[in-house]
Amino acid sequence: MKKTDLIRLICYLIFVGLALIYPIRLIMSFEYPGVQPGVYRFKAGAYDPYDPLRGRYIRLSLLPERLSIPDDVKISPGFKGDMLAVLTTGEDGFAAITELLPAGAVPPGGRDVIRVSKVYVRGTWKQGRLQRPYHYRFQLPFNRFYLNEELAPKAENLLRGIKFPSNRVAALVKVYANGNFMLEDLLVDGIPIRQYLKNQ
Amino acid sequence: MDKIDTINWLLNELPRLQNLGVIDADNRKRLSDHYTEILSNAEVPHQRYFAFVLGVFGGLLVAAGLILFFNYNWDMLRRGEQIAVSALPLLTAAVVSIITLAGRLSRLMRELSALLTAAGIAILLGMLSRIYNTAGQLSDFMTLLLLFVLPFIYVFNSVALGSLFVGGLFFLLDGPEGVARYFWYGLGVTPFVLYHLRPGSFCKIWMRYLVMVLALFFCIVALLGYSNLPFTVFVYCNVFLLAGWEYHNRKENMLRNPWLPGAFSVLLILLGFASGSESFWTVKPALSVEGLVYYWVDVGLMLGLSVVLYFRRVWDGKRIMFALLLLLGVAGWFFQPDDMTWFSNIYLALFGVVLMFDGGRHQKLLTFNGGLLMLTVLVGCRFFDNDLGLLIRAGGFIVMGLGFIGANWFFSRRIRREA
Repeated sequence: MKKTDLIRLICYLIFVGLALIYPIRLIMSFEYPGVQPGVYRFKAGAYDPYDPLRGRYIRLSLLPERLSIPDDVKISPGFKGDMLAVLTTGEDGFAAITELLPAGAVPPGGRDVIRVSKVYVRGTWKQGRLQRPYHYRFQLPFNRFYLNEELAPKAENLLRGIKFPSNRVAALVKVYANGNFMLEDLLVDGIPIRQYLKNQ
Repeated sequence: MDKIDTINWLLNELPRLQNLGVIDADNRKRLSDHYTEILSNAEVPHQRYFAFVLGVFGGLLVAAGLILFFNYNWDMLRRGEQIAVSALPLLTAAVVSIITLAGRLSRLMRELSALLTAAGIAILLGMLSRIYNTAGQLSDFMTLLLLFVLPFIYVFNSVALGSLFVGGLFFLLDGPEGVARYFWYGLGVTPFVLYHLRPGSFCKIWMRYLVMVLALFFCIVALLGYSNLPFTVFVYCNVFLLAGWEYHNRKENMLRNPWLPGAFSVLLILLGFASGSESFWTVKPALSVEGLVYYWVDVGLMLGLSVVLYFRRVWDGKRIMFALLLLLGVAGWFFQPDDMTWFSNIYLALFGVVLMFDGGRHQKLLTFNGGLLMLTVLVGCRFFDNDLGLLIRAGGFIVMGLGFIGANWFFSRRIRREA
């Protein structure tokens, strides 16, 4: 083997190894987290779009998607980009957001946070301008749930019959200490949707 | 193709040449036998291309079928199995690549190995996002993918992967906050593209096209940092006009020299807007210090390149006009937008006249027509310009028309004198 080809081969192996570091770390962070993730249930509705590359999946509509802003907080209406949402579990057992922090902020100790996007501060139109009370509108980051192509239309038919929002349908999400999240399952009446459809 | 056509032509001519007595029967037979043998061994035109395309297309269809098959049965696999299946394409690519590099296989295999490796990484990243339902934006995915794929462009010296990388850069763009990231990613592939512009490169013509795409990316990045459209695009056009003119002087034709027609066309369109639109000259302040810094690094490098292309060259009318283009961009900082529209009109008229005279003087049709095109655009834009009064337009067109007639008289006299 020529010297240049040997160098190319060694470089190739090194760079493939480096490229594998990210997926391996990702898998390890999900499968063997240092701190156990918090598990949250978000109220969900769904519909079934089709993507020829991704295949069948459920597009989720999720709550909460807004948060009131107290009148004493100084803020102006408009687009705010990405922010961190501090999570808690409400009295009804579903996830609730207690506050939104700037994207680079340090989360309060022991609390789970997720990054929400497309955050807007909205108000009420009075006399030609936006006025208080203000509230945040945002999008939760997990909005796709993949299903087998035979199950996805059935799931959509099932969920269409359940008015959104409802306590019957919940997206089960694990939120990790490093800010990663995993949409673990979609529950209907507390049962994973695949099982629910099989039982029907 | 030309060679085969020529041989066929010669074989058809042989009977006629024999009848005319140019060659005798023996010569005819020897020539016929010789060239018939060459013809029989010659490849059918585009034979390799057809075989290549059929092979690649078949491979893509098989790959697509496998993807759909796994897509259907995905839910039946456990998570660990799903991860293993996701890694299979990369593993296959690694095997092919190692065989290619160790066995010193052809350039085609190296290109294929590079593309397979990139595809394997893309599939692994995409499938992990699906397995863990982590969602995310396309720009986040491309940020990771391009970062991992970049070294393999150099390892395999892969033109195909380099070209895809340059195209993929545009999918990084998702707002002015990432200017630094866009710049460094673009810079990552720049040495590869520049290296293959050298005269000895097997793909130098393709790289001349690709570098225009890369320049467009850098231009957009600069504008995201600081929205000064006129100065930015004039600097870029200046570089490509100068470099394109160098190739033109070396008798490189238009297909081999896309820089000159490309930069000229872009400049013509922009000057058309600049000569009538005040919003073209409106510059918004930079959104951040970082954006401003990267703007000046980006544009500064192009200005440096301009200086190199001006250095130790003969300064003719065209070069002076190219340099004035930069001054026009600078003037945008100091004058009001409506003043700049007037300056643009004057510049367009002057440039057109200079090119026409230069072309007429040196008997260069391309230069002459370029100048004529500029003046046509100017006339066309102003004819429909409601901001100018009818009387002014009438006077202007009459003066220009008399100028053209005068130029026609001048050239006609010159042609008669030279005849």
